[in-house]
Amino acid sequence: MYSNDSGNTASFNSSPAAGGASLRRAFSRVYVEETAYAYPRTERILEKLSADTVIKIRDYKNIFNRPNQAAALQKRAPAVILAVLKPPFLYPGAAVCQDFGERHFYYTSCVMNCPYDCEYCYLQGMYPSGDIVIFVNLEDIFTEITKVLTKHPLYVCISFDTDLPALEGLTGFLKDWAEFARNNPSLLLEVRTKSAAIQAISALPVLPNMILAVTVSPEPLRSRFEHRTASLSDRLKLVRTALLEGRPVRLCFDPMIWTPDFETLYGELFQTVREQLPAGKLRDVSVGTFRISAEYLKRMRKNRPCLVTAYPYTNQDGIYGYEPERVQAMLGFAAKQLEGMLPKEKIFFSEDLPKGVL
Amino acid sequence: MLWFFTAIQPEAVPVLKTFSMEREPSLFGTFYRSKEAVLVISGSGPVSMAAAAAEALSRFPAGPADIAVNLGICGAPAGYPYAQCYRIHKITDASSGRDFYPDLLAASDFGEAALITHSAPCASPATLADMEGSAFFETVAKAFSPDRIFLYKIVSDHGIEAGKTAPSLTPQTVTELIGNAFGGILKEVTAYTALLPEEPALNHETEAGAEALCTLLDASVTMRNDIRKMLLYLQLRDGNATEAVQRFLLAEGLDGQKPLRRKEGKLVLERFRQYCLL
Repeated sequence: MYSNDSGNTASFNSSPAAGGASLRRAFSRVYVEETAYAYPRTERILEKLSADTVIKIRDYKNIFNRPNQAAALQKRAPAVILAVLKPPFLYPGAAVCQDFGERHFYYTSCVMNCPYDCEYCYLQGMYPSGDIVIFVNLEDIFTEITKVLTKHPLYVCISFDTDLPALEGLTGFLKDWAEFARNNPSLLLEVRTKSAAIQAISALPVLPNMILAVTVSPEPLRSRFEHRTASLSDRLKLVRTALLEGRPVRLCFDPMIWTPDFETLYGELFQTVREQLPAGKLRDVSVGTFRISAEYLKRMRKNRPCLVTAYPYTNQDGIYGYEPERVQAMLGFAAKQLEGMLPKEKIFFSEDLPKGVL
Repeated sequence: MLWFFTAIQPEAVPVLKTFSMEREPSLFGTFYRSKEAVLVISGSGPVSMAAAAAEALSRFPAGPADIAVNLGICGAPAGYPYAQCYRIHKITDASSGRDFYPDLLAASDFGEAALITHSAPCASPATLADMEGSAFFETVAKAFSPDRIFLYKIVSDHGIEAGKTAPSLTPQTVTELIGNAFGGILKEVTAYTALLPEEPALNHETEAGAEALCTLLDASVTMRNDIRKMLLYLQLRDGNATEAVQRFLLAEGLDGQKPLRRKEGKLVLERFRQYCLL
């Protein structure tokens, strides 16, 4: 029902702890808003889930926004909450995110939370819960976008707060988005993923206005911090397949995580990309260092300290990141590695580099 | 620490038999306490439960790994067998209409059900019905996260058929109903504590190193927090922060030195921060 590589389901960690306790099966508990039953998607998703327990609720926030939730445990055995999204349906893109030169940069959350568990993910600072909320009223989002498109084009990221390709087997949302994008050529969509959901992506029509954005990290960092995600090699396989199919693909080296052996690890990553991908066929590449709002980082450090979040970051205007010199060094390193792989106007950095670096 | 909350004495007997508890004075309800457990016998009804639970929580502060358990009998419609024990996943307060949701993260051998809490015995319950559950949850939720709050209800009656008097339960029957399920309940809630993530903390050695550094630098509260954050980073990175601290102090010529003045301490702290980034 969700995948980290082609068709194989990743296993959540529900194995018995000392004393014999084990966590519930992931997705075994489903909360359903009473109003969500009116939407056909709800029944479809419930059938796929075959949940042990289905509980009717009035408002998803009664579950999702409970105070003091054990979010780290929930991530290992998430419940699903089926709900009806209320306005607003579109949000302006955050300043920490790259807009790729698009003037009207927005994002939407048709799913809140991700089946993966990356230790440094901002979602842990943003959301009070590790459960996954699926909004079944996509058509309301489409209606809103249609209204806005009468005024100007839109660039909308639809898989920021989740991983839609990883959940496609359960939700079927990408098919609906693809159909909507096909009928609205002035809409540009970005679908970001850490999965290798080749089957799910290949089942979609090839559209010039639906970008597949695949995030990559060095494999040692991926296995250390990005739990249940697809391996680097499987993600690159997804990229190769998508490029062969003629899809616009964005490769995201973002966030780059500093380690004492940064240049070795990322050097190997760039080398692997050079060897395994026809980089010239990529639509574009994004490069960024780890950065996060102060508010989110504070929560993440309190609830789940990890090596990445524990780093003594520098606070600049409410955003924590590496020290400016380190950022420039990391981005500069990446810029050198990307030289010659694709034209520089196709490479987008999270910060401006000094002149002459690229 | 396990916290048990019951409405009446017969429901509490299995708890008292399991833990060697001593009576504690209380204004509301009856309290017992041992090293491993707290027992609150509140009296019937939501007001009694809320008052007793609130008093207990203010008298004995709950720890981050403590578990709160409401144990009790309940009425049920036909379809819920007599003596069956259920874990409660949703509690509705009949008078306010509010819903409460324990977060049941652990797998369980017990079946699950919803519960409605009334302020008086319910003649025809539509689901499991009691008189304390919602008040219990709403009160203890001030001190316990929703995954550490459990309600176990054992079916003791199926309401009252029209024209018939309420079935009466003897205290012994109530004790027996709870007692038959208590072993499984205790095993389950005790086992859940093993799943709780460890509190993020500096290990003993790092803690000592942090204190020593704070003293050396005449650390303010802010500096102290920064030092602890940096040492946590070093501990996560290297497994041991102490060696890094000692190397730094040696390089600075501060090893074995007496405490600095705060102004100088701040400068040293900034250099320590740069050192951590290497």
